[in-house]
Amino acid sequence: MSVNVREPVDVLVIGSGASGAAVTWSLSEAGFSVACLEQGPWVPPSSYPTSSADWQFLQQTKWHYSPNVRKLPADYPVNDDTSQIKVVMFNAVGGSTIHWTAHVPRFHPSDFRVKTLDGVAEDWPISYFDLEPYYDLNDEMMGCSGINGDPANPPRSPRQMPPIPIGPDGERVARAFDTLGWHWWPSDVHVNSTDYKGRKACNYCGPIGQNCDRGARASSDITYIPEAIKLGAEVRPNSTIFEITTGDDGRATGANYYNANGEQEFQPANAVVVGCNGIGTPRMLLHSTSNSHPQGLLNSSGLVGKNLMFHVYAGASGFFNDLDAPTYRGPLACIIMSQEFYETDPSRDFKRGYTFQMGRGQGPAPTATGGVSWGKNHHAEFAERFGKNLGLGVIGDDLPEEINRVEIDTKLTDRHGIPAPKIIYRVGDNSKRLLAHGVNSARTVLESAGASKIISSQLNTNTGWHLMGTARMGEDPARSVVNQYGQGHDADNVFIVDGSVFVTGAAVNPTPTIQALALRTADYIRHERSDLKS
Amino acid sequence: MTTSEQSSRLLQSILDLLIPPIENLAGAGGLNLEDELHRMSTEHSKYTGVIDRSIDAITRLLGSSGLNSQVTSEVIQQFESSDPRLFELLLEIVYTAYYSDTRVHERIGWKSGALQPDGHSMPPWDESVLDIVRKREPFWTRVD
Repeated sequence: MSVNVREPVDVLVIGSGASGAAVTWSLSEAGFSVACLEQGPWVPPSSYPTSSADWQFLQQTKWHYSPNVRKLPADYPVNDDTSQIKVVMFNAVGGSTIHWTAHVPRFHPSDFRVKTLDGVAEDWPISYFDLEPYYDLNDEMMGCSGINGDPANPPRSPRQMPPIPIGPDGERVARAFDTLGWHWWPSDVHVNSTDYKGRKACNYCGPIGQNCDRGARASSDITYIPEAIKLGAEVRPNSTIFEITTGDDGRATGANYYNANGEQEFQPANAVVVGCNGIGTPRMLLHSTSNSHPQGLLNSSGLVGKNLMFHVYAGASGFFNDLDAPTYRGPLACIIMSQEFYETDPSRDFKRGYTFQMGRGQGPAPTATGGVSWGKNHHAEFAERFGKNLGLGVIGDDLPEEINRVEIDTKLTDRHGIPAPKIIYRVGDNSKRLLAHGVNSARTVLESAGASKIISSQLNTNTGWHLMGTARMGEDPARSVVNQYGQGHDADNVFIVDGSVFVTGAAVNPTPTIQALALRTADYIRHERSDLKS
Repeated sequence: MTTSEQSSRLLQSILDLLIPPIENLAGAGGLNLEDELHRMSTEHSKYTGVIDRSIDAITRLLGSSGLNSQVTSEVIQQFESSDPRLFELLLEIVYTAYYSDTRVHERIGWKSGALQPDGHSMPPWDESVLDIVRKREPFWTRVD
């Protein structure tokens, strides 16, 4: 079979999501020739569910969070039958930032030193302060609404925009935290509270994960990617890479992929940057076997795919009879957060901790499908919740364990016949104790806020949106896959820039940390790897 | 009565049991959601065959008199127990159809149509809400 060979580039970036887009922009700015290949299409903002009267149906089907439900042409199936937590992601230019809620707390300094401080997992080879300038740069590119002065976190640079208003419902819960003497703070969010860089301010329609055509919620297809294209980067959608190729010396030479017409092509490159996140990246590395890498690319340690972390989620919802406004007004989960129980406390029966992320009510169908029973009690239960429910999600630190992993499925394939990933994952004992504490604490807050009824779940299972740890960074090639710059121990021109490189998951949404790490890797290539530039 | 008419009548009964009438509004069966359910079933593979398979399953549970029988809450409960995954999908598609209906929206006070471009209004950000928490000393763990 003849394979079309494309013009060589300095850097091939695989994936245009949170991390790949950031690297594509940064390296283009430094004069590298960059091709960013993305398996998904461009998604026109006019197609977002919030622009359709049928948004509730779309949310359940082709805009569902799970690729196994959505089944769009760009999606690959994920066998998560053997995982307690089900995987969610999106495949398009912009990756899963097309579908995220844009809640962007940062890691704490202690998250990088959990072995030293708490005797669990491993320390990172970098510190919070190594990443801080890249967090700041990322906030500028994505646009961050928030406010300085949070006592739970190190001091920060001013945000680009003031916080999104927390609303009377947010204030109600905030006052409960105050009454208990517990920490809370307005969430840092990559959602515009004012117009920013040509994108409009949020108009508080609600289901922020369903995106909007105002561009109020940042996603990498409307932030980094347009800037990268202006600088000369090529973004090639509908390009499904199935193999990173290597030469006799074990270094990457490019990648083989299927183009939009299903034809095989080869993209030669001096370096390959992988940004397919914690499931897609190990899947690709494990496919990419060769004489130099018989166990898969960068897998001499055997750790590719191992140590999968999701974040463990649980939560409580309170129903209120006396609120001033319906709780579906305002961004779903970009309100306030609490890190009262974030750091390890020896008096508790678990290590590390969790963040509370407040959530609002939703529209009528999501409210009903969220647990309202059928039959004679249906209307009473619906009325009790609709516009009256507020929640506290518990995002728990999910410590890495090698038994939690991504493998290649032996039967399931995508539409090109590329084997699908298989997930083996179970919630650890530390996580169970942590979640139990979190749920009890959430109930205490909602009680203090005056909820007339509270319901809770000990483990939310359809929440595998944070995909981390499956190609972790470290100094020891026997105990890690990449070094502190995301550079492969086994191939010095292969870089990983997504959540795979996380050593631990912390207890916060990971995207700003993923993007900060990606920008740091790009900075390393810019300054230390001029040999990769033709 | 044809089989199709019998199926349709059975479906209406099932829908009314899932979401009964309230005040001056008919239940999900009386709102004539069949066309909408059919559209949803054909527009995405998630719901393909859900309605037909559910009717078949319930008909089997009704026994020898099948489609001519009166479906009851007890039969629905049996169906829920015997095939929870299918029942979950049935409930989801029915809830989504019912709560996408403008007559239902009117009753519950929800504005029909797309969420954009109107959105909602919110009172402006007021920094004084932070007065109490700002008094707290930093408590993040310092590391070398």
